[in-house]
Amino acid sequence: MTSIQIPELSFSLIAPELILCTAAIVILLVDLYVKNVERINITLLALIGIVLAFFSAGTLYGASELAFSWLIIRDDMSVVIDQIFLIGAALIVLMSHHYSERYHFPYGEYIVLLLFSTLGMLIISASADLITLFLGVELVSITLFVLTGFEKKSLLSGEASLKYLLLGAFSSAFMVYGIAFIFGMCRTTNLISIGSLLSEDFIGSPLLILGFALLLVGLGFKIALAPFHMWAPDVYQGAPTPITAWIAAGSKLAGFIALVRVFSLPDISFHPLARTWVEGIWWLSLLTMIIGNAGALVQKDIKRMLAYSSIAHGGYLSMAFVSHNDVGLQALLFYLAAYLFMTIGAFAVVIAAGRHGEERRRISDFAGLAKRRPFLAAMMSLFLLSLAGMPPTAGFIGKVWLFGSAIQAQYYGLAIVGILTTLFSFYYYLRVIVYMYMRDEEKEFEAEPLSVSLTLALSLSALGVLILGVFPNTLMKVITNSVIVL
Amino acid sequence: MISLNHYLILSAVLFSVGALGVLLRRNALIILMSVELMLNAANLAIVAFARYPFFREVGLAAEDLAVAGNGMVFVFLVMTVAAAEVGVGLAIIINLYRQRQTINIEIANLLQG
Amino acid sequence: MDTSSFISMPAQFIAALIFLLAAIAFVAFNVLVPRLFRPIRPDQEKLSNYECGERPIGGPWIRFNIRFYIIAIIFLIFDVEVLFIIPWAVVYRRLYSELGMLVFWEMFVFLTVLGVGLAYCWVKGHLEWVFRDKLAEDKSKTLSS
Repeated sequence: MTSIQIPELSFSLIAPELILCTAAIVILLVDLYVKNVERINITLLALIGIVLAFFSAGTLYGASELAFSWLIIRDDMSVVIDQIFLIGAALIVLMSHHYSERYHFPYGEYIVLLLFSTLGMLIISASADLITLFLGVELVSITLFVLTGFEKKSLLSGEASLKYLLLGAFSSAFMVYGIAFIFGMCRTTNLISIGSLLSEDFIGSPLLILGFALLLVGLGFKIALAPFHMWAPDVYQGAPTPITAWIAAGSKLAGFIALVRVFSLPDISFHPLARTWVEGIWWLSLLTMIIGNAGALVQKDIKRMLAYSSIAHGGYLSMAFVSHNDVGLQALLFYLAAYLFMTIGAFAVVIAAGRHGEERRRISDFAGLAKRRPFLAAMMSLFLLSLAGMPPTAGFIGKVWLFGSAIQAQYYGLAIVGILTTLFSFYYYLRVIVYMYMRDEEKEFEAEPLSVSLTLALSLSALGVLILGVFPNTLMKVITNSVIVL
Repeated sequence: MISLNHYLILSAVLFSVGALGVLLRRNALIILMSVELMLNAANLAIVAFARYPFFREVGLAAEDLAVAGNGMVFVFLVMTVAAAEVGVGLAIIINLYRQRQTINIEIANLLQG
Repeated sequence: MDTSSFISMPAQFIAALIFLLAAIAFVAFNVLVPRLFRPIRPDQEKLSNYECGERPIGGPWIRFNIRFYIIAIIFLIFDVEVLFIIPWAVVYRRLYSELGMLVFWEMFVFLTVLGVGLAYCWVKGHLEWVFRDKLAEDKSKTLSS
């Protein structure tokens, strides 16, 4: 009998995850046993948990370690990404505080699920093994299925959650099957071991390629790459708006980080396998950019338009995997951070523009917003211009960096398609701005006053977009260092 | 003697049956069952891979036991995740049924561009 | 461990297979053969559902109460956790000698988290057979007062 290896338990390395998990369980119990707990208290508890997790992640900079029998990797990249996720989660909690006042859904459970989905994202960013990766992805997906259907009375919400569930489960099956083949060929699920196996002269067996392809399909569903994107507009439209923002920002980020963990294994860049999947992602990226931008042109609902815009951004982002170099990876991380702020901000404006029972989600509803509520219109313009990639914003720098990485890797065709589709995208982003500033509103609409929490969420996202746009150096430096350590 | 290939072929067949079920059927419950079939097909493949140390000619080494353990633990976790997914799925389907008295996904089709 | 027996394990199942086939053959024989000889004269009384001799009320294909599904979902979730507990119980003794109480505490944390889930179901009233909608009750109280 073999002796059992005692796994090294380094709980300090997963402190952010533990804190977040504890916070979620505490909130669940408080909501359960304290009678008539105020919503503001739950929000504060959640924010305290997130902030604590944020700072405990901050203390982990510089730790480059594998823990828990190589299931968890704690490098600088995972810390940066954890912090980005936690900022996003805080913004979503603030938005939800406002939104849940409008539709009285069980707030405690909602926040608990939100925190668990964030936990899943943190697990993905720190996973060094396909098992942890799979568990993280599933934790994110399953909680988001529930959250999507949280407006129990709404037909749209119920239908969106069903669609999300069926396609999400379908894609998980592909993921598991892919992992099965990778496990069969490499005889391990550990990503580091797989990387070193592949870097040696290892058989490029067709089953291994099939395994990676299936895994790519599964993750492609989660981040809505082009042939697998059909669920996204429906789910984005039907889900409660803060959750739409979280699917668009957090879940997409998480999917990309999972791809980074799987497909940027450090040692395998020269393996013949790398060429195969670069080619595959090249096609996916091209298709996604074209379909996403073309779809956004014809939308009348603002949430659907933002959904297609988010699909298009998935195309730009996956360019980083095609260029497959350090610059690409750095650009990807930077653009993901920028994308998080601008997407969450845009959806926050969508929430603020509506009121109970009248959500005002058609693009024509935004006519005359500038006259009535100049602050909201200015915010929306900022986020949309950033999504389009106008110079003083974060979106511009991210795009330049991303396209630059593709050019550096000599994928000129893809870079040109990226630039062209970006130019096209100005049309539909600017259309909303034109509506807001140059048209008169069709009928009087008495809006809800802006609450403190929503104002906070809006200004923080705007601040994020501007700071990353004007002073990108701080984050750039952190990201560049973290990728070198990797 | 049943070899690894037999298991892999069976799992491929089951996976395809499940995938076809998802694509062709219109009843949400049956689609969920088909997804379960796909997950279990994948599980079968993992267990088969874990069981057959096909890179080695003879016998089982300690390493092979570790590989088997790795695969089996993964299968346990996949089963747990699948159960959670079904739990959530059934709840969502019940909710949809309460709203519309049908679980046919073609009738439930309000969301369109 | 004797590795050869581990490899040839399927051979040991042949006995089970024969047993299984014999069982199926036995049932099939007893069900099918009498069909060839016995008279078949169905009437109203014979075709009705058997409910201990009582006159049946309604068909068997009625709709179940939705509560059955919720109980089923709860069962499904907690049932699967046995997957982790049984292997743990099997190796507990051996691991205990090497790792000490850590083995116990790991499962303790796992079960505590599960316990939170159970408490949730309990407090929400999903374990009681007669479901009381507390929100609705509160509302009706405030309406009547």
